[in-house]
Amino acid sequence: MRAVSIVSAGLICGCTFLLLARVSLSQGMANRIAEPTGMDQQILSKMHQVNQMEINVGKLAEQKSDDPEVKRYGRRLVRDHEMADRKVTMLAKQLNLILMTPQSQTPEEQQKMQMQMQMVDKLKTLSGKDFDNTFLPAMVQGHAEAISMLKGAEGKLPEQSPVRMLISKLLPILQQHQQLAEDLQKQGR
Amino acid sequence: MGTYTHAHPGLANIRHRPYGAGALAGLIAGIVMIVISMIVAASTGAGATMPLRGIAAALYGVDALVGGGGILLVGLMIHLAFSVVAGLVFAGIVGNVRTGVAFGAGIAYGIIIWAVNTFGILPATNPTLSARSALMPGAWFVFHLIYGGMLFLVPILHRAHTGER
Repeated sequence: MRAVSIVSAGLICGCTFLLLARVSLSQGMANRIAEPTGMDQQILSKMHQVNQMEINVGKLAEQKSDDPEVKRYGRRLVRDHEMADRKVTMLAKQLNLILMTPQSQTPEEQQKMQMQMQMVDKLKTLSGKDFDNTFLPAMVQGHAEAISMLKGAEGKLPEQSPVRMLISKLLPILQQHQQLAEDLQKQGR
Repeated sequence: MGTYTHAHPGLANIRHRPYGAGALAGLIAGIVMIVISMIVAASTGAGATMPLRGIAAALYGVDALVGGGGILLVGLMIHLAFSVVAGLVFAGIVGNVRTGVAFGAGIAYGIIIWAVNTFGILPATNPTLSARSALMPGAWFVFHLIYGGMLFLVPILHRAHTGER
């Protein structure tokens, strides 16, 4: 019994030490975190815009689709993108950055933004199976574009950038959304 | 007892560890852990069923995030099965000790399970849940502490069963 007590105490001390070491390492890294840049503001603003669009589209799916799994997918989009947006706005606040409406920089980006808005308007007019048949492919493509945008942004940011760290945590969630939309499409939803 | 087990009485006693109490304590701890995680998930906007869906993703992949009630049941069964087994293992390691010792050992055990889960098992077997737990690392850690701490029930349940004082 004494051996168990000693082992338990040793394990607790060891684990506590490891945790404290990890915390101090994180603190050390935090002290080396890169200063925010104009690119940070642009990227966070773009992420905020994408989140807001996904939240709106997710709510549409809950209302317009008749398929329970598509409705749940819509609800998942709303919940995940609301969570992501909270993290984006909190980070922007911590970095003293104001989230703006991102300005398209190239004609291609302008065209993409227009097409996205047209797609949302189109989805508002559809319901049932017609909605699903338009919504799911749009989600596959939309998430592919968002993932591509974020990966590009991630590569341009310094390693210790808090925006880069946030992107690395949110990217898998976007990839899950894309995969879900593909799977639902394959199932003939 | 043979010569070897006479020299190592701990080994002779390994058959007499409170496995039943460990399994039951593990089950109770697992239930408490999943209920608290569902409450936290609901309060953070992730949805109360998110923990069960995340666990079920070990079998169903991302599709678990939109599945129906059957998915939730599978997630619950996986979680409780692991909880029972972990409780059994705990009882086998720790044996019949005082409640305070069981609590301390349980906390350490919970930390070990958290580390094995977070850095070993989940990335390999359930990337869906691994990605989501990375978004709430503090809460994820605390859930495992709660599980481990609840294993203080092992000696209590054992004494209740055997009538020891």
